[in-house]
Amino acid sequence: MRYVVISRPKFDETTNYLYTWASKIITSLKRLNFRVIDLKDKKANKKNIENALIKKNPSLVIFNGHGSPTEICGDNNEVLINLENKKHLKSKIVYSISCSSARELGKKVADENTSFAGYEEEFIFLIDKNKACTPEKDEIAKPFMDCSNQFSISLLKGKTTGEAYEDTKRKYNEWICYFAAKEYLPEASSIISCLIWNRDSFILHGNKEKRILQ
Amino acid sequence: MPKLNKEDISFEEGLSRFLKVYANIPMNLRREIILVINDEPITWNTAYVEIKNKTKFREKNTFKINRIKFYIIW
Amino acid sequence: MVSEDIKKLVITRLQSMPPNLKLSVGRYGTFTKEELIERVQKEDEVGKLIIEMQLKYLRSFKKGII
Repeated sequence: MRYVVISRPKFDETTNYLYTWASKIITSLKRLNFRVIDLKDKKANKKNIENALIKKNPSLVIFNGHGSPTEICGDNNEVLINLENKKHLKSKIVYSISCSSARELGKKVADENTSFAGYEEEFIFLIDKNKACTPEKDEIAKPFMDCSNQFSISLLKGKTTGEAYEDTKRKYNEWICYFAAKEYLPEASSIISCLIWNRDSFILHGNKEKRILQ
Repeated sequence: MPKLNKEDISFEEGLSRFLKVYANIPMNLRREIILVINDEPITWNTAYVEIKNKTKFREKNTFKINRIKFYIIW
Repeated sequence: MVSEDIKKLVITRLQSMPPNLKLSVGRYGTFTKEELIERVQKEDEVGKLIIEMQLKYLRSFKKGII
Protein backbone atom coordinates (compact mmCIF):
# COMPACT_ATOMS: atom_id res chain seq x y z
CA MET A 1 0.00 0.00 0.00
CA ARG A 2 1.57 3.31 -1.08
CA TYR A 3 0.94 6.05 1.42
CA VAL A 4 1.45 9.78 1.06
CA VAL A 5 1.09 12.11 4.03
CA ILE A 6 0.15 15.72 3.39
CA SER A 7 0.00 18.35 6.05
CA ARG A 8 -2.02 21.43 5.08
CA PRO A 9 -3.15 23.75 7.85
CA LYS A 10 -5.47 26.62 7.00
CA PHE A 11 -5.52 29.46 9.49
CA ASP A 12 -4.26 32.57 7.69
CA GLU A 13 -4.03 34.00 4.19
CA THR A 14 -0.79 32.20 3.34
CA THR A 15 -1.86 28.77 4.54
CA ASN A 16 -5.22 29.24 2.80
CA TYR A 17 -3.38 29.49 -0.50
CA LEU A 18 -1.06 26.56 0.22
CA TYR A 19 -4.10 24.51 1.30
CA THR A 20 -5.82 25.17 -2.05
CA TRP A 21 -2.68 24.44 -4.07
CA ALA A 22 -2.24 21.11 -2.28
CA SER A 23 -5.80 20.07 -3.25
CA LYS A 24 -4.63 19.68 -6.84
CA ILE A 25 -1.86 17.31 -5.79
CA ILE A 26 -4.23 15.29 -3.64
CA THR A 27 -6.60 14.81 -6.59
CA SER A 28 -3.73 13.53 -8.73
CA LEU A 29 -2.50 11.23 -5.98
CA LYS A 30 -5.92 9.65 -5.53
CA ARG A 31 -6.25 9.16 -9.27
CA LEU A 32 -3.02 7.18 -9.17
CA ASN A 33 -4.32 5.01 -6.34
CA PHE A 34 -2.14 6.36 -3.59
CA ARG A 35 -3.58 6.25 -0.09
CA VAL A 36 -3.54 9.90 0.95
CA ILE A 37 -3.46 10.84 4.60
CA ASP A 38 -4.74 14.38 4.32
CA LEU A 39 -3.95 16.18 7.57
CA LYS A 40 -5.88 19.33 6.85
CA ASP A 41 -6.95 22.29 9.01
CA LYS A 42 -6.80 21.36 12.68
CA LYS A 43 -5.69 17.80 11.87
CA ALA A 44 -2.27 19.21 10.94
CA ASN A 45 -0.93 18.70 14.46
CA LYS A 46 2.11 16.98 15.89
CA LYS A 47 0.29 13.93 17.25
CA ASN A 48 -1.34 13.14 13.90
CA ILE A 49 1.82 13.72 11.92
CA GLU A 50 3.92 11.48 14.12
CA ASN A 51 1.27 8.74 14.10
CA ALA A 52 1.02 8.87 10.33
CA LEU A 53 4.79 8.81 9.83
CA ILE A 54 5.35 5.94 12.24
CA LYS A 55 2.33 3.72 11.51
CA LYS A 56 1.89 4.25 7.76
CA ASN A 57 5.52 4.67 6.72
CA PRO A 58 4.67 6.87 3.72
CA SER A 59 7.02 7.09 0.76
CA LEU A 60 6.25 10.80 0.30
CA VAL A 61 5.54 13.48 2.88
CA ILE A 62 4.45 16.97 1.83
CA PHE A 63 4.43 19.80 4.33
CA ASN A 64 2.51 22.98 3.63
CA GLY A 65 2.58 25.70 6.23
CA HIS A 66 5.01 27.90 8.05
CA GLY A 67 8.43 27.00 9.32
CA SER A 68 11.88 28.09 10.26
CA PRO A 69 15.38 26.78 9.59
CA THR A 70 14.87 24.09 12.26
CA GLU A 71 11.10 23.56 12.34
CA ILE A 72 8.13 22.63 10.23
CA CYS A 73 4.83 23.91 11.57
CA GLY A 74 1.20 22.96 11.27
CA ASP A 75 -2.11 24.31 12.51
CA ASN A 76 -1.69 27.64 14.34
CA ASN A 77 2.05 27.23 14.04
CA GLU A 78 2.25 24.15 16.24
CA VAL A 79 5.66 22.59 15.64
CA LEU A 80 5.25 19.29 13.81
CA ILE A 81 8.86 18.39 13.09
CA ASN A 82 12.02 19.78 14.61
CA LEU A 83 15.55 18.58 15.27
CA GLU A 84 14.30 16.31 18.09
CA ASN A 85 11.83 14.19 16.12
CA LYS A 86 13.35 14.54 12.64
CA LYS A 87 14.15 10.83 12.70
CA HIS A 88 10.53 10.14 11.69
CA LEU A 89 11.36 11.53 8.24
CA LYS A 90 14.19 9.07 7.57
CA SER A 91 14.06 6.95 4.41
CA LYS A 92 11.29 9.06 2.92
CA ILE A 93 10.95 11.70 0.26
CA VAL A 94 10.08 14.93 2.02
CA TYR A 95 8.87 18.03 0.25
CA SER A 96 8.52 21.00 2.54
CA ILE A 97 7.06 24.32 1.45
CA SER A 98 7.57 25.50 5.02
CA CYS A 99 9.81 28.54 4.89
CA SER A 100 13.54 28.04 5.24
CA SER A 101 13.16 24.50 6.64
CA ALA A 102 15.65 23.21 4.07
CA ARG A 103 18.38 25.42 5.49
CA GLU A 104 19.13 23.40 8.59
CA LEU A 105 16.43 20.80 9.30
CA GLY A 106 16.45 19.56 5.71
CA LYS A 107 20.22 19.23 5.69
CA LYS A 108 20.20 17.23 8.94
CA VAL A 109 17.35 14.95 7.85
CA ALA A 110 18.77 14.09 4.43
CA ASP A 111 21.09 11.14 3.89
CA GLU A 112 21.73 8.41 1.32
CA ASN A 113 18.21 7.00 1.86
CA THR A 114 16.30 10.22 2.51
CA SER A 115 15.48 13.10 0.21
CA PHE A 116 14.48 16.53 1.45
CA ALA A 117 13.37 19.20 -1.00
CA GLY A 118 12.44 22.65 0.21
CA TYR A 119 13.40 26.26 0.57
CA GLU A 120 16.39 27.74 2.35
CA GLU A 121 14.74 31.16 2.61
CA GLU A 122 11.20 32.39 3.23
CA PHE A 123 8.82 31.18 0.53
CA ILE A 124 7.41 34.38 -0.91
CA PHE A 125 4.50 34.82 -3.29
CA LEU A 126 2.15 37.47 -4.58
CA ILE A 127 -1.60 37.39 -4.30
CA ASP A 128 -4.40 39.48 -5.74
CA LYS A 129 -6.16 41.13 -2.77
CA ASN A 130 -9.45 40.89 -4.63
CA LYS A 131 -9.17 37.12 -5.03
CA ALA A 132 -7.87 36.24 -1.58
CA CYS A 133 -11.09 34.41 -0.69
CA THR A 134 -10.91 32.28 -3.84
CA PRO A 135 -7.24 31.34 -4.25
CA GLU A 136 -8.08 28.91 -7.04
CA LYS A 137 -9.14 31.91 -9.19
CA ASP A 138 -6.11 34.06 -8.38
CA GLU A 139 -4.15 34.50 -11.63
CA ILE A 140 -1.39 36.44 -9.86
CA ALA A 141 -0.68 33.52 -7.53
CA LYS A 142 -0.96 30.93 -10.30
CA PRO A 143 2.73 30.87 -11.32
CA PHE A 144 3.72 30.31 -7.70
CA MET A 145 1.24 27.45 -7.37
CA ASP A 146 2.56 25.93 -10.57
CA CYS A 147 6.17 26.08 -9.42
CA SER A 148 5.32 24.91 -5.92
CA ASN A 149 3.39 21.87 -7.21
CA GLN A 150 5.90 20.91 -9.88
CA PHE A 151 8.11 18.82 -7.58
CA SER A 152 5.18 16.61 -6.54
CA ILE A 153 3.83 16.41 -10.09
CA SER A 154 7.19 15.20 -11.42
CA LEU A 155 7.44 12.57 -8.69
CA LEU A 156 3.95 11.35 -9.59
CA LYS A 157 5.13 10.89 -13.16
CA GLY A 158 7.72 8.45 -11.89
CA LYS A 159 10.70 10.79 -11.95
CA THR A 160 13.53 10.72 -9.44
CA THR A 161 13.90 13.41 -6.81
CA GLY A 162 16.82 14.84 -8.80
CA GLU A 163 14.71 15.05 -11.96
CA ALA A 164 11.80 16.54 -10.04
CA TYR A 165 14.16 19.17 -8.63
CA GLU A 166 15.39 20.10 -12.12
CA ASP A 167 11.80 20.20 -13.40
CA THR A 168 10.92 22.66 -10.64
CA LYS A 169 13.82 24.95 -11.49
CA ARG A 170 12.80 24.77 -15.14
CA LYS A 171 9.20 25.65 -14.26
CA TYR A 172 10.42 28.72 -12.39
CA ASN A 173 12.50 29.77 -15.40
CA GLU A 174 9.54 29.25 -17.75
CA TRP A 175 7.38 31.59 -15.71
CA ILE A 176 10.20 34.12 -15.33
CA CYS A 177 10.65 34.12 -19.12
CA TYR A 178 6.89 34.44 -19.63
CA PHE A 179 6.64 37.54 -17.46
CA ALA A 180 9.88 39.02 -18.77
CA ALA A 181 8.36 38.95 -22.25
CA LYS A 182 4.94 40.26 -21.18
CA GLU A 183 4.36 43.78 -22.42
CA TYR A 184 2.72 46.41 -20.24
CA LEU A 185 1.91 44.11 -17.35
CA PRO A 186 2.36 46.17 -14.17
CA GLU A 187 2.61 43.06 -11.97
CA ALA A 188 5.38 41.49 -14.03
CA SER A 189 8.35 43.01 -12.20
CA SER A 190 7.01 42.11 -8.76
CA ILE A 191 6.18 38.56 -9.86
CA ILE A 192 9.59 38.01 -11.45
CA SER A 193 11.45 39.22 -8.37
CA CYS A 194 9.55 36.76 -6.15
CA LEU A 195 9.98 33.88 -8.60
CA ILE A 196 13.74 34.47 -8.73
CA TRP A 197 13.90 34.59 -4.94
CA ASN A 198 12.06 31.27 -4.56
CA ARG A 199 13.88 29.61 -7.45
CA ASP A 200 17.28 30.42 -6.04
CA SER A 201 16.42 29.23 -2.55
CA PHE A 202 14.85 25.92 -3.67
CA ILE A 203 17.16 23.04 -2.89
CA LEU A 204 17.29 19.25 -2.74
CA HIS A 205 19.30 17.48 -0.04
CA GLY A 206 20.11 13.79 0.18
CA ASN A 207 19.25 11.04 -2.25
CA LYS A 208 18.70 12.36 -5.78
CA GLU A 209 17.69 8.98 -7.23
CA LYS A 210 14.67 8.21 -5.07
CA ARG A 211 11.25 7.65 -6.63
CA ILE A 212 7.87 7.28 -4.96
CA LEU A 213 6.68 4.54 -7.28
CA GLN A 214 9.32 2.09 -6.07
CA MET B 1 31.30 47.16 1.52
CA PRO B 2 34.52 49.17 0.82
CA LYS B 3 34.24 52.88 0.19
CA LEU B 4 34.15 53.82 -3.43
CA ASN B 5 36.25 56.78 -4.58
CA LYS B 6 35.29 58.82 -7.59
CA GLU B 7 38.52 57.63 -9.23
CA ASP B 8 37.97 53.93 -8.55
CA ILE B 9 36.08 53.15 -11.73
CA SER B 10 36.83 54.95 -14.96
CA PHE B 11 33.92 56.11 -17.08
CA GLU B 12 34.98 53.84 -19.94
CA GLU B 13 35.10 50.77 -17.73
CA GLY B 14 31.78 51.70 -16.14
CA LEU B 15 30.16 52.24 -19.52
CA SER B 16 31.54 48.96 -20.82
CA ARG B 17 30.16 47.00 -17.85
CA PHE B 18 26.86 48.83 -18.01
CA LEU B 19 26.41 48.10 -21.71
CA LYS B 20 27.19 44.39 -21.22
CA VAL B 21 24.50 44.10 -18.56
CA TYR B 22 22.03 46.34 -20.41
CA ALA B 23 22.30 44.29 -23.60
CA ASN B 24 21.33 41.16 -21.67
CA ILE B 25 18.10 42.60 -20.29
CA PRO B 26 14.76 41.63 -21.90
CA MET B 27 13.16 44.63 -23.60
CA ASN B 28 10.17 44.81 -21.26
CA LEU B 29 12.36 44.84 -18.18
CA ARG B 30 14.35 47.85 -19.38
CA ARG B 31 11.58 49.96 -17.88
CA GLU B 32 12.59 48.76 -14.38
CA ILE B 33 13.63 51.41 -11.87
CA ILE B 34 17.24 50.79 -10.91
CA LEU B 35 18.32 54.10 -9.37
CA VAL B 36 16.91 57.05 -7.49
CA ILE B 37 18.98 60.22 -7.86
CA ASN B 38 17.80 63.44 -6.24
CA ASP B 39 14.39 61.80 -5.82
CA GLU B 40 14.25 61.10 -9.56
CA PRO B 41 13.61 57.45 -10.42
CA ILE B 42 15.86 56.21 -13.20
CA THR B 43 15.11 53.17 -15.34
CA TRP B 44 17.56 51.09 -17.35
CA ASN B 45 16.48 52.97 -20.48
CA THR B 46 16.96 56.37 -18.89
CA ALA B 47 20.36 55.39 -17.51
CA TYR B 48 21.42 54.16 -20.95
CA VAL B 49 20.45 57.44 -22.62
CA GLU B 50 22.01 59.65 -19.93
CA ILE B 51 25.24 57.70 -19.59
CA LYS B 52 25.85 57.00 -23.27
CA ASN B 53 25.20 60.59 -24.33
CA LYS B 54 27.29 62.19 -21.59
CA THR B 55 24.45 64.48 -20.58
CA LYS B 56 24.72 67.16 -17.90
CA PHE B 57 22.66 64.94 -15.63
CA ARG B 58 25.28 62.20 -15.92
CA GLU B 59 28.15 64.63 -15.30
CA LYS B 60 26.49 66.00 -12.19
CA ASN B 61 25.71 62.55 -10.79
CA THR B 62 28.57 60.29 -11.87
CA PHE B 63 29.64 59.47 -8.34
CA LYS B 64 26.15 58.42 -7.28
CA ILE B 65 25.65 56.45 -10.47
CA ASN B 66 28.93 54.63 -9.88
CA ARG B 67 28.07 53.89 -6.28
CA ILE B 68 24.73 52.36 -7.11
CA LYS B 69 26.26 50.44 -9.97
CA PHE B 70 28.72 49.04 -7.47
CA TYR B 71 25.84 47.64 -5.44
CA ILE B 72 23.85 46.32 -8.35
CA ILE B 73 25.92 45.61 -11.38
CA TRP B 74 29.23 44.40 -9.97
CA MET C 1 22.25 49.39 8.54
CA VAL C 2 21.19 49.70 4.91
CA SER C 3 22.25 52.81 3.01
CA GLU C 4 19.60 55.46 2.44
CA ASP C 5 20.19 55.24 -1.33
CA ILE C 6 19.26 51.56 -1.34
CA LYS C 7 16.23 52.09 0.89
CA LYS C 8 15.02 54.90 -1.34
CA LEU C 9 15.48 52.71 -4.40
CA VAL C 10 13.55 49.80 -2.87
CA ILE C 11 10.76 52.09 -1.65
CA THR C 12 10.47 53.72 -5.08
CA ARG C 13 10.24 50.31 -6.67
CA LEU C 14 7.59 49.23 -4.16
CA GLN C 15 5.60 52.40 -4.87
CA SER C 16 5.32 51.32 -8.49
CA MET C 17 3.73 48.01 -7.44
CA PRO C 18 0.02 47.76 -8.46
CA PRO C 19 -2.28 48.48 -5.49
CA ASN C 20 -4.23 45.21 -5.75
CA LEU C 21 -1.20 43.09 -4.88
CA LYS C 22 -0.29 41.63 -1.50
CA LEU C 23 2.92 39.84 -0.69
CA SER C 24 2.98 36.69 1.39
CA VAL C 25 6.28 36.63 3.27
CA GLY C 26 6.50 33.17 4.79
CA ARG C 27 5.88 33.02 8.51
CA TYR C 28 5.64 36.83 8.78
CA GLY C 29 2.25 37.11 7.09
CA THR C 30 0.87 39.01 4.12
CA PHE C 31 1.50 42.68 3.41
CA THR C 32 0.11 45.40 1.19
CA LYS C 33 2.57 47.66 -0.60
CA GLU C 34 2.04 50.40 2.00
CA GLU C 35 2.86 47.94 4.77
CA LEU C 36 5.95 46.76 2.91
CA ILE C 37 7.16 50.33 2.50
CA GLU C 38 6.69 50.90 6.21
CA ARG C 39 8.69 47.78 7.02
CA VAL C 40 11.50 48.81 4.70
CA GLN C 41 11.62 52.22 6.33
CA LYS C 42 11.78 50.57 9.75
CA GLU C 43 14.36 48.05 8.52
CA ASP C 44 12.81 45.28 10.59
CA GLU C 45 13.10 41.57 9.67
CA VAL C 46 10.49 41.84 6.93
CA GLY C 47 11.94 45.10 5.66
CA LYS C 48 15.45 43.65 5.45
CA LEU C 49 14.11 40.60 3.64
CA ILE C 50 12.33 42.77 1.07
CA ILE C 51 15.48 44.84 0.53
CA GLU C 52 17.51 41.66 0.07
CA MET C 53 14.95 40.27 -2.35
CA GLN C 54 14.91 43.45 -4.43
CA LEU C 55 18.70 43.69 -4.56
CA LYS C 56 18.96 40.02 -5.49
CA TYR C 57 16.57 40.69 -8.35
CA LEU C 58 18.47 43.73 -9.58
CA ARG C 59 21.79 41.88 -9.30
CA SER C 60 20.36 38.96 -11.27
CA PHE C 61 20.51 41.16 -14.38
CA LYS C 62 24.29 40.94 -14.18
CA LYS C 63 24.43 37.27 -15.14
CA GLY C 64 21.02 37.08 -16.79
CA ILE C 65 17.75 36.33 -15.04
CA ILE C 66 17.58 32.77 -16.40
